[in-house]
Amino acid sequence: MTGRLSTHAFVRWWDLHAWAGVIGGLVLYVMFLTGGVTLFRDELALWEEPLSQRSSAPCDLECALDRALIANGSTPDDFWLYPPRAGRGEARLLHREASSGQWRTDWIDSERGELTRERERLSGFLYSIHFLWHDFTGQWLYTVGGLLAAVMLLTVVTGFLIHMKNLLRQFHQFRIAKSERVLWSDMHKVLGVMGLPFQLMYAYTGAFIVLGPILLNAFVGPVFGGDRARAAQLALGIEPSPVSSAGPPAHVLPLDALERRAHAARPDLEPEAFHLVHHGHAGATFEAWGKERTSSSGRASVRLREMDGEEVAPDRRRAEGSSRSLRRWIHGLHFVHFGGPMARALFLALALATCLTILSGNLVWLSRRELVHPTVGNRLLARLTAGVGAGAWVALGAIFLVSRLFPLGWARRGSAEELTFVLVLGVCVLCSLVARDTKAFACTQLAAAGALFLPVPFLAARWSQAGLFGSGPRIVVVAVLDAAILATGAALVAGARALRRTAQRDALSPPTSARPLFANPGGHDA
Amino acid sequence: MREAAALSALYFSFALVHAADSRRLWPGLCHWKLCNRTGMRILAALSVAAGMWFLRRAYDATSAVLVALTALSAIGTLFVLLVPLFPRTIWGLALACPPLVILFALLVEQHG
Repeated sequence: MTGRLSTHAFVRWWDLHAWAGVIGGLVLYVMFLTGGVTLFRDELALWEEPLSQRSSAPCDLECALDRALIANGSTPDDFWLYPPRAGRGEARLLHREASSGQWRTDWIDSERGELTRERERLSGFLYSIHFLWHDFTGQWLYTVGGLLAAVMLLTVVTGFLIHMKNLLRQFHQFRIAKSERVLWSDMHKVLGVMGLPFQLMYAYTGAFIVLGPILLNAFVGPVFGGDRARAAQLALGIEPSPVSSAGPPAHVLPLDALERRAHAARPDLEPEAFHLVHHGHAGATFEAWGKERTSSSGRASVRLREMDGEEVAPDRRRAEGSSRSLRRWIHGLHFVHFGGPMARALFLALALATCLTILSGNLVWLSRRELVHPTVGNRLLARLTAGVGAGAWVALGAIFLVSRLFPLGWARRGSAEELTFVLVLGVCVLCSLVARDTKAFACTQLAAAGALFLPVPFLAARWSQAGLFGSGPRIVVVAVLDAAILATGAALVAGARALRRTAQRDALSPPTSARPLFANPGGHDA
Repeated sequence: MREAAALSALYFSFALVHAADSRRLWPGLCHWKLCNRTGMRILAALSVAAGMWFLRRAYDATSAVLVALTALSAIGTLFVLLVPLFPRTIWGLALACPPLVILFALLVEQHG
């Protein structure tokens, strides 16, 4: 392989790379930004909910289950029990709502002896939005998310092909003293080349997770004779849900005994949740689900019968097929089930770098095409890039702020938080479309985002004394997150100031033949 | 501590690879031109090995390789983008890395 493409191939790949990047880029930007934050979902969940910070009274699994079932008033047929983690916080019950059949999570409030409906949506919403899922929009937008991951895969591969011949040089070249076009181009190449393994991995795993089950539908009829469960098991390694009749009420083993048996069956499993079906009946099953200590490849589970604690189909688990192994690896890589907090911090840095890759890619497009053929579409792209690029940070700051401002007891606070994010992002984009000076407005947005983040740790002390400004015993994770939020706010304000100064300096410098990218006051450009 | 030692070693290795071309070297370190480019790359490889060794002590082999690759990507990105803006800080940090690695290694030995 010479590493050189023919001119025709180069131009075609370049066009494909540029168009795919411009079409999917801004949505992918939001997906990567929220995905980066979501790497710390467990920590955010601890930070956001005072009930998860309580020092829980000593209570074994059976005791937590009793509390949950007494508070619920009945035993659901199918439910999950999440015990407190590391002896902190209340347990949670995930079950179907009797009226609507929708799954819902309740905290088991041991002090008041009742169930408290999950009231905080910050971490959950950011997690969902990173793959474009919401109950309101449903499957179609989620599928679009998967397609965008495939588009990104195409962009990464074509980007690699067109830069193959200069790949080594682009590892190190960032010329800030040259023109704006060279700066964005160098930045895009450095970020793209350095982040290539990360971006390739996320594009592939994201597309696989979303589109895999959809593509499987094409094979269910011809290959698996219409047996969807068998197709999912063989092709994707998805175990079918236990199909057993409840049977008559029976005496079953206590949960703690079942947990011990699960540990004996799978010693490397660190249970995080327990799935109970037909609890208290002859056909009941107990499934311990959690992290595998000895593997980097994700989560696993073991299923037992509640009556005698015997494992259900142990041979099937031991004879793990390659498809299941592949799926576990893909999930393990995508959700960073390896390496601990340091690996996740590094992944966050690379996710932010990917966001910058996308924005700089748009700016390269504009600097190449807008200068040659100024079009309305390019001006729209410039404004959308500024609006989404900075507006996503404002929306993030806003959702963090309102999550500490809205009353905890307000029934609609979860929906209000989600609406705040969407509305703020929408308003930022709309304002960017009509702003007189897009670059100045982007700086204002970044400063506003910083201003929204900065008071959050102080407001957090209203409900939680475990943070940086709380008066109670500190929880390290909560205090570190408070510090990280403060640092984010300060960095955004400082970044906005630096960008504004650069813009002012550029405005004072002697005019060149090249038009600056965003200088388009009032749309009256010559 | 092991992670900090590993990050320092990996940072040093990337700085060496970057410095292997004297045109990229900070003017304050120009006398390093005397150094052999191949020697720098060998030293960089040894530094990566040291980083891997520290990570291997903290994680299983697969995780250690994945974390090292991620760290090199993140460090490389930050290094190349920030070195024109803050050359003293970035090169200064690179020079501080070898003693930092030794310090962290000693702390690891003492505290486990």
